Amino acid sequence: MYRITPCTALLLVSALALGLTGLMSASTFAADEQASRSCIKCHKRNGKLEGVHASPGLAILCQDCHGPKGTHPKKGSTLNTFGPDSPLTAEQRTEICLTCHDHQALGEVEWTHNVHANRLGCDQCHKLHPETDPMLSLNTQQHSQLCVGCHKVKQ
Amino acid sequence: MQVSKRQFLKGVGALLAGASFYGVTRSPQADSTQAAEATPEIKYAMVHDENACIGCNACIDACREVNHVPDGVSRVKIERSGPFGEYPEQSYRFSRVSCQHCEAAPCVRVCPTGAAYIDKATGIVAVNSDRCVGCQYCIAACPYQVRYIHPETRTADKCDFCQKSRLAKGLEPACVEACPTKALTFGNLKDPESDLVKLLKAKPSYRAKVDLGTRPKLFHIQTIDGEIML
Repeated sequence: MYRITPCTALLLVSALALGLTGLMSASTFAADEQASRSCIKCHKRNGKLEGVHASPGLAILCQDCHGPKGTHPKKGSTLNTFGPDSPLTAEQRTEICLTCHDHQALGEVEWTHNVHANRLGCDQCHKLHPETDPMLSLNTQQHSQLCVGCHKVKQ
Repeated sequence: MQVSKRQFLKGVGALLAGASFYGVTRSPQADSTQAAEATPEIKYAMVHDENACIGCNACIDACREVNHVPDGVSRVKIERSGPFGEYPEQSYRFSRVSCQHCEAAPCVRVCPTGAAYIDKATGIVAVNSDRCVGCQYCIAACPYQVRYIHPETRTADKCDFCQKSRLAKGLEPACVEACPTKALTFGNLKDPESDLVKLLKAKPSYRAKVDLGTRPKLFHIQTIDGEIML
């Protein structure tokens, strides 16, 4: 016969609590995933994520970057959009990327991140959805020419 | 006349020694000196505006292509320091490192074969690769560390303001043309109407390691923004 001491009682309760929270988070994740799938129902062509951000370990969902569905696709959509037509400011768009990425680490890998931090949005150079980000395959000449493209002083 | 084998060999040997001695001591740019000896009207120099430079390295790429500089070595480098300031308002500083075309060039002084010379017509410090034996004295002597041994020719090489590749065609050096922000200005120090002289008179500039007495002709306009560096 086991005797339930206060110590074991505490252990049991905490184990139960942990199990419950685990279950709950799993269920919310499942719900999120369901929501993400519902995006793909309409966005079959432009919704597919194929790059490194699509790797299963990251488990990135549409709403992680684009925000909750809200009233979309009806009027008054509050979704985050990226690219040249985005209503968000460059800083707002960058902020979304920085929820996962560390600006210091980015600056160490590529110094040009630091000098454009509040001037450009990440999406003005990087592309997440395609299989390869155009910025990752630049050689030194292409890298230089990318700078020249914007910084060229008119004669 | 009887000439012994010994005498004949002595004579030929002396003749050869004399001829080769003449060949070595002859001025490396014998044809250009006589024309320019009177009054050289050109003295080329360059200004690098560190405020305008964005560190894109387009100058390096252009130089590499025009002057056929192989990977691993470079005639021009842009040294980057930073970041300065706090995120997201950070900045960097850039400084050009390339041949300074010194008026009193240490590399020319140490060159035992006369391969390193100052072109009297233009003031350009150049290398006659036919004379260079690759001893690397110049590389050791250059206080700016801009010389290297070209991996293909095995002779000393460095920036010559594109003397052979572009100046001869009436074009500006490749780096100057490639610079997107017009941070580089090339011109004649002796022409008071040149953009170079006007710029040097309008903005304060500095030159690297002037205390060595090298009298360099690469001018820098110092970055204004940011903290004072010690």
